Amino acid sequence: MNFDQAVNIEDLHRIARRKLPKIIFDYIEGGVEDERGLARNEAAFHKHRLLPRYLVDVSKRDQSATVFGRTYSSPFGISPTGGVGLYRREGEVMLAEAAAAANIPYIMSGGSNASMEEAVRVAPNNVWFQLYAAKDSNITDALIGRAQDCGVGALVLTVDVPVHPKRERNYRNGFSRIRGGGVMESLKLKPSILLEAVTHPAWVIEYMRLGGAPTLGNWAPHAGDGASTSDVIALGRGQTPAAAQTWRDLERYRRLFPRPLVVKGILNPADAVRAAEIGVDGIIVSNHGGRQLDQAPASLEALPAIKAAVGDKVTVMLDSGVRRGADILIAFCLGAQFVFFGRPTLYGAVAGGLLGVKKALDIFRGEIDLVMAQIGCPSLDQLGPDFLWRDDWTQNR
Amino acid sequence: MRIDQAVNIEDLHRMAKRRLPKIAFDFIEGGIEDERGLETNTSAFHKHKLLPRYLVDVSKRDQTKTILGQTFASPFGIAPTGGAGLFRHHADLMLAEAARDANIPYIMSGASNDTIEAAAKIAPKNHWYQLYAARDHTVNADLIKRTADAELGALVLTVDTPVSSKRERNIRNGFANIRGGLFQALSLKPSILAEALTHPGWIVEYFKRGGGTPMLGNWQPYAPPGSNAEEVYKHSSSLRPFNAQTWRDLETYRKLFPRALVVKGIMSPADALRARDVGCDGILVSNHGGRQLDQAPGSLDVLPAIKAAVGDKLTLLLDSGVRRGADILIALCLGADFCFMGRPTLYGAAAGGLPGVKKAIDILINEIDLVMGQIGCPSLDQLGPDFLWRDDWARNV
Repeated sequence: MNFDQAVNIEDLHRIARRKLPKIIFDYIEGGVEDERGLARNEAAFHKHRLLPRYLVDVSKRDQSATVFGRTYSSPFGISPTGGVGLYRREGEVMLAEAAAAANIPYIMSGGSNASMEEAVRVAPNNVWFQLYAAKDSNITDALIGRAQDCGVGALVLTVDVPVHPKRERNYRNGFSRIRGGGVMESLKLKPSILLEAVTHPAWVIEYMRLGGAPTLGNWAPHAGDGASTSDVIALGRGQTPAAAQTWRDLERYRRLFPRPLVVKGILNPADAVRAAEIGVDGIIVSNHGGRQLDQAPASLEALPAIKAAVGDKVTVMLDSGVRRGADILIAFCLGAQFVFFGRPTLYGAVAGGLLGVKKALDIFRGEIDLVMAQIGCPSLDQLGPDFLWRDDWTQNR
Repeated sequence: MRIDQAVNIEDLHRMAKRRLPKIAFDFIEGGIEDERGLETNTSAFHKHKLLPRYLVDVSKRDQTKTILGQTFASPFGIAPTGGAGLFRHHADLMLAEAARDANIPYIMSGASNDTIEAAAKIAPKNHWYQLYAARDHTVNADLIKRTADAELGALVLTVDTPVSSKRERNIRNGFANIRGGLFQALSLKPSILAEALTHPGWIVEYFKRGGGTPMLGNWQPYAPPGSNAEEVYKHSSSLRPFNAQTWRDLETYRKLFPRALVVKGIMSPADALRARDVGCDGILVSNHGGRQLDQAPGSLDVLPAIKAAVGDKLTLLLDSGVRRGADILIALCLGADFCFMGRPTLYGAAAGGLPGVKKAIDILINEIDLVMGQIGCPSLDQLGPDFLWRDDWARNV
């Protein structure tokens, strides 16, 4: 199947899996420990059923959504995904370009290969920047300064990476060798891994031709003049995770960054309240796509509690497990004001480059449009709990 | 796969399964009857979700834990597992040595092959003894005296084996024959013998140490002088299970043993209260790894009720179903002071001897460390119900 024949995100997923060596695909795909969290994230959406209302005029449907004073054409954006260049060269630039074309936000990962400045050049109105704080607060502050200077739409602080979690696929595959730098290092991989990789020659040739892992564009300016790619990667690795980071640091970021500040990775209602008290503008309820804590609740499960705790004091957004347009509408019914996804557009980038990313966005846009019509909801502001089936409905009519 | 490549306990499990003949592996692995209890035990942990708190300084994490007056380096120890010498020659002493090196407690099984005294020499501060009481009181009194004389940290009375349970794998395999003498093993079913030959590593070790059942070291002094291993085993079996044992006997043991006394196998809050009234120091909430009663609840399921009944008056230990570091943290959230696990270190011993046991312990230490960091809990005394997700949270913010 070619990517332009893809009917849904799962098709792009399958195409991407075929194109990448297992060691690379596993990095996208993997969760942590037993990977129960991956199943939990998707199952959280499947627990909900939408209850249609008919004989509503749905000849015009409007899926635009406004967040932080800016109206986007759809209620979703692209979540930060690190190291996209390893799957598809210039992948982040493609994500930015596709986001601009679709008029949705693209959150560039702090662990991206291109830099935020490059992304903003391609998509001046659609880039947000996701910050992994450094252990050295001077570097963190400099990153925030750059985000401010290049005019990103929002700064998104990820708080759910206090440690590098136990991603067992990466341990087994020896992924750190391939992410760490040069081609020579990758030759130390297990023969079975190398052999499997050779069955994906297009990717391997590209990797060899470009001399191994791409640099970390956002970290490069802080590695000093003349730093090699492996120096930059070593800097990024050595400076993260900032395990000593606390709410005091968030207060500082708030002072440093005058534009919309978002905290990503919140699952605990108490943490959401605290973030609101510090004056952040939004939170992304997220369990990092099931990649940090295998025992964590699904973000959709945590959403109603968080919404109840913070009300309208901050903009509540969500990611983790979104694979269909209907998933996004369900999250809206439960209180989300915007939704993000990471893997679907990565699948698209791998499957078909820029056009593949655009295909993923089109799929979501098309699904949302149809489901809005199907349930009798021509604009998103009508969504709410009334559109969700409740198993106790007969008792509570 | 080599021992040092094992990423999790499941890896060691698979390696142990490969090394051991089915008849031996089934003894470790098996539950009773339909083996629903095995699933009950692991799924009891998977029902719980951990709720992280972020922006907590987790740059230093402390997993030490003090129980029964002694500080251990981790909140877990090695549960008693009988007949370990059959899976790896002198496995009991390997468990003791690995426990000493990791500074965690090792509970020697009442059906161990090595002796109390031999393990005490190796791990004087990390060795507890688990008593299977005999029908002959003088034997019990002597075992208790030997435990006291060797200055072990605790005596652990197992109360959940009033009968020898219906372990169907052992019945089908003819496991009793392998526990006999060398030649009795030849009377096993041909299919069992043929399968065993496909595990030459174990077969060679079996013959090198003389074949047949390994000596029950602690019971040897009570058998007629000059008894061989098979005769000691038969003599010990004639004295157990002591199914006329009652709370009156526990009172006697309490008077005989001056140091910490723990009752293992308690599942009922009423029994827990009674153990406290008798003056026990702790209880080990356990369903014997699903090996005694297939219809029993998971030990984690009953833990909150027991904690509610006894409060802080007893040290609460738990085993049965622990396979991940996160499992241990979940048990601590629900009121356990300490956890034990039996099969994981046995997998390690069977798969790789002493390095295998150490690997199992390292895996759990590392998983605990990462999950403590991930959930924002730098020391164990902070754990409690607030770290557990509740499905009704939205209604109770």
